[in-house]
Amino acid sequence: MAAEGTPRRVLLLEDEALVAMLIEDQLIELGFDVVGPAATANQAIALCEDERIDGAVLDVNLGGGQRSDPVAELLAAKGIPFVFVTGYGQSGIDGRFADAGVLQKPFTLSELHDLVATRFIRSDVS
Amino acid sequence: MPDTNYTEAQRRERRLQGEAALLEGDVNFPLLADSIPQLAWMAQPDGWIFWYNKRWYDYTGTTLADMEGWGWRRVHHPDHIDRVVSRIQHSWETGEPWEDTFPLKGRDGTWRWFLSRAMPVRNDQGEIIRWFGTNTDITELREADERQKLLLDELNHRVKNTLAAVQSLARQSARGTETTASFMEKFDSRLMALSRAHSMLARDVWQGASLTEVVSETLAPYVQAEPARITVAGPPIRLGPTAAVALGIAIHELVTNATKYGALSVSQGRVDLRWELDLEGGAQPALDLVWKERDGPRLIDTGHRGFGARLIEEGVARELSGEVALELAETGAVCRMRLPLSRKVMIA
Repeated sequence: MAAEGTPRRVLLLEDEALVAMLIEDQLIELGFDVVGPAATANQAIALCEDERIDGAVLDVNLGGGQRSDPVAELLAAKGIPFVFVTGYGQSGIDGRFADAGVLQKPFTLSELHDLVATRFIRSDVS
Repeated sequence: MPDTNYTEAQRRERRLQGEAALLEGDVNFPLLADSIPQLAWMAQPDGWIFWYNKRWYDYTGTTLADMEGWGWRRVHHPDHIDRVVSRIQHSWETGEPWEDTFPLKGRDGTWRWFLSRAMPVRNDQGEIIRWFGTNTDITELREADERQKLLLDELNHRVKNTLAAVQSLARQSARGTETTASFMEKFDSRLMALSRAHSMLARDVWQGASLTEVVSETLAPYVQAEPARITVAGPPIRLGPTAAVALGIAIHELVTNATKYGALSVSQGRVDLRWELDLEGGAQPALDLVWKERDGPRLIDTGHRGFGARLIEEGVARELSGEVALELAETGAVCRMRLPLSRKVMIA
């Protein structure tokens, strides 16, 4: 499943430890290198600044009323593709990011694959 | 207590008295209209409003001169006025009863929501001679509906996340497991730990749980079996919902490992779980929690890291932005967590 050459690097932002472990494993199984997982928007933003990232999987609600929107904004500004995973479905997504893919939890490995495979392609990889 | 056992003749007598009072105008209509909890009004057949009850004026802070005819539009919200006018106009023209829901501006400038209805009053020939309308304040009802909707959204979100957590437990339990029976044993026991964490959250309407409760519920079966071997002590700490789940499962992993391989696998071994607040020591106030096994067998670190180690060292550390160390010491496992106080870990 891994692309030829260096694996694509995917940032994972998910605040619930158990769910983060699940998605991390799923991404690894799909051949990605996982950056993070980050549990807060600040952790994720720091990783965006420091690491090379080819795509991102973002939980929408990070607990205590925090959301991943600031991270999505930064990624959009950098031109890095991202998808949301959420318990709420499309209705919980900020309208500015209506084009980003959304997966409702829980999801299967192949659903995750179908959502990210075409999106997380580095521009320097043909 | 009043006597309610009237004879049929007495009932008839009372009814006639009432009807006579109505005919003679003894019943003061404005008094009646002002005593109902609604705003009320009357209009000519073409919709020209010529009368409002006192509550209307009290609520809107207006006068009949301001309001008569079509003056009422001034207390309507700009977002609703076009729809309201078009629907009420339809009723004026067709004689169909009117019903609508919209905000009206109060004398203090705040808006409240009203369910509004009007019925035509007809003469003996069936012609409309006037309209009688009421506006019922439903602001509190709407707010309760809003709260319920938010609560349901939140519950739905939790259910979906919990299903993903169960999926995670299944995946982690399947790792390195050779038989279905041993998978089921691991999975069941973790699922029960998740379920206990949820029971504690449900008790507090999903707002959080106390660390003491999370610990004592998780350790209860082990403490009951051998009360002298497990000691727990620490000040009251409140955990956010996801922290309660993560720590509940982490402690479950520690105690099951202690039972299988560590201090609780031998007769003289003991476990000490303590936590304390450090409000001055570090850069940030933090909770220091230590799980310490004593008098257990010497554990050999094979380098293999199971689900419990990964959850504690990576999951809990990251989720709670803490520093976590898990080591296999001479006499059993020792786990130290330093968790900064946050919206997930609070002083109770």
